Amino acid sequence: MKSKYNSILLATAFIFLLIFFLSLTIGAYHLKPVDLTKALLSPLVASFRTAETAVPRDIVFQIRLPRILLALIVGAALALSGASLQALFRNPLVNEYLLGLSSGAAFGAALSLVFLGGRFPVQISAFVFSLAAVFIVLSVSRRAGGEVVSLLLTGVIVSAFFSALLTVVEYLASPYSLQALFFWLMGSFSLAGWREAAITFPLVIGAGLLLLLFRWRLNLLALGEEEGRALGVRVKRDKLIVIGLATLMTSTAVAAVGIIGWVGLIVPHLARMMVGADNRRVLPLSALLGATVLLAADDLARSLTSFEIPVGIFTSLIGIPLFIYLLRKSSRVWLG
Amino acid sequence: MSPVVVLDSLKRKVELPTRVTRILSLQPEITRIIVALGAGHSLLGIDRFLRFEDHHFSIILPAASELPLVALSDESVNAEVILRFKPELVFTSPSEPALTNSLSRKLSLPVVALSSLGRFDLLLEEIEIVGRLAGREPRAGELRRYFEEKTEAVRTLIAAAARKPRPRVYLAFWSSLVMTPVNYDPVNVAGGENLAEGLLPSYLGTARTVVSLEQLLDWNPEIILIHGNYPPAERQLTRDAVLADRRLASVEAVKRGQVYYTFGFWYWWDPAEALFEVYYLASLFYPELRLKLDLEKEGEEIFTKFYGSPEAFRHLLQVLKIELPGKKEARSEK
Repeated sequence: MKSKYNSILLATAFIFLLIFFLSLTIGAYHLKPVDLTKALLSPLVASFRTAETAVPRDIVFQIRLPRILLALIVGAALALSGASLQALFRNPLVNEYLLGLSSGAAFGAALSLVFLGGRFPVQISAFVFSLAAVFIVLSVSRRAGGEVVSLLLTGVIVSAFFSALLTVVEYLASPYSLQALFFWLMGSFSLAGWREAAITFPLVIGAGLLLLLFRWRLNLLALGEEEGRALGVRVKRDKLIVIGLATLMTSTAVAAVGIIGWVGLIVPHLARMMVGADNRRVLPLSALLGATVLLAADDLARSLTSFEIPVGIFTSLIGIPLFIYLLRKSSRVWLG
Repeated sequence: MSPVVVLDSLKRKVELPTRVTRILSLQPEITRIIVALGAGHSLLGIDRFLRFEDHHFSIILPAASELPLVALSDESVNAEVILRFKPELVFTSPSEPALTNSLSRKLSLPVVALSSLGRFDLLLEEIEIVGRLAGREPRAGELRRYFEEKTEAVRTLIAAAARKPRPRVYLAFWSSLVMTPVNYDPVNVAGGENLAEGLLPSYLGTARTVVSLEQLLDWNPEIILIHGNYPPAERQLTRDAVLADRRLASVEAVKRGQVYYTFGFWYWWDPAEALFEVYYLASLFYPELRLKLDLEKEGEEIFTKFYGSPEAFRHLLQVLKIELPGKKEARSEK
């Protein structure tokens, strides 16, 4: 089993690297292979840092690389947070949307963009409101019995509530900020640069590493509260840690590039289909697959037409049929 | 007079009556044309944008403050409220196709989505259509001729000064560096080349598309125009930000510092502002014209022709704080 897992991980890493390098060659600006190579090597080879290579270097280091890295990190964040939440709640339908996390983050970011002109950091506002949304979902569903059904229903209601609040913000927004808000809500990497990356990377990488370190505990938590306690797990504390880290990752990703759907739901399914339900394997593979899938989707979004298609549209279009297929194929993994 | 059939901006055929005296316009561009035609009294209500956000509508139609507010936003338009006004005709914006279709289904009166989508031929057609509807054909003809004469005058000036190829221009509109209009006639008439001209719009009923930063670098524009029809404090994309953007360092316009604000669309066009934009852009594209063109005088003349007073233009300059290029030269001459 372990060797099968290693083979899958290696194969995925290979595809990941392939798409990563392919992504460097894709773009509206046609770069000859020799110019691309020179640009890539320019930090190491001084003779490649000439005026002639200035534009290719800008294309590679100022536009493509930050965009690619941001797509990778956001894809990994959404998938990892989805996988953790699904494991924690022992439910394959749980994702950042269902817990109200995305709609809370979107509302927080909109609040900052519309009423504070982005002066209050969008990331912090998104994090605070996504945390609030998750807190409401958990406390209301606990009062309603803490069953999975009540959790799902509460999640739907809280998501709808924050979506309604978002509509109120749109309604009250001035035309100046409304245009910026609509563009942000579409979910796109088109303006991704080092500034967005600088805020997103440390938060997502930090929270992601902690979640990965926590992955064996997720297996214990997935056994249920009673069993977990019997095995010496501090269930309440560990649950809060996982939810907090997943919230931080998703809200940071949403604040950087808007709402990108389905990655957090489908990728963990795909990972479980490949390696089973063991979270020690599902989490790293989800992160790697999430990064690869979102990067490939963004490559399509920026190369298919003369205009940029918001990547969120792509993930939704591909995600829904894929989800139906995966649900049929992977039900055995969850249902035993 | 027989009814007119128009193909509106959403490609719908609509039969329009003639000589209407009760018009409900939810489309600011058409509302402004109605006012310019001297038919402001046939307006039954006003939308939120013109009431609260427009830079100079209250100056060109002081009676606007007395008009009832029809809706807070396009989403909040209520068909029953519209019927209460007893309009003979409703104008909507093509950027809200759902609203147009919904009202068409619910109301037994013509609902037409019109916008010039960045094109002067459509703007002039709108002036003619609205003129016919409001019984103001002579005034519509007068404005049309004036518009054509003024644009022709710019073309003549440019023909003398023109260099080839035309300056390559990129427009960063709607608060975003990567959103750009696929049609923008002021650039063409002013002797520039809109690099995104003719691309497919991203949404039906709009003139805009989203391009990639790489596309922008590939085009390498000599001039970047930023949508400047916002008060400075509200500008989400600024000239300073574009000039300081490391990703654009290799772009010719950034290297030369040729990044300017425009008067641009403002919930579609103000016809007077669109015409003034041609003069303003010509003086940006061809600096040698700056001493020949007195932009302030031109702006005042154009606004007086359309709205009977130069006040709205002066107010616009105060609000937007866009420096007219000729002014700087005139100051340094002194």
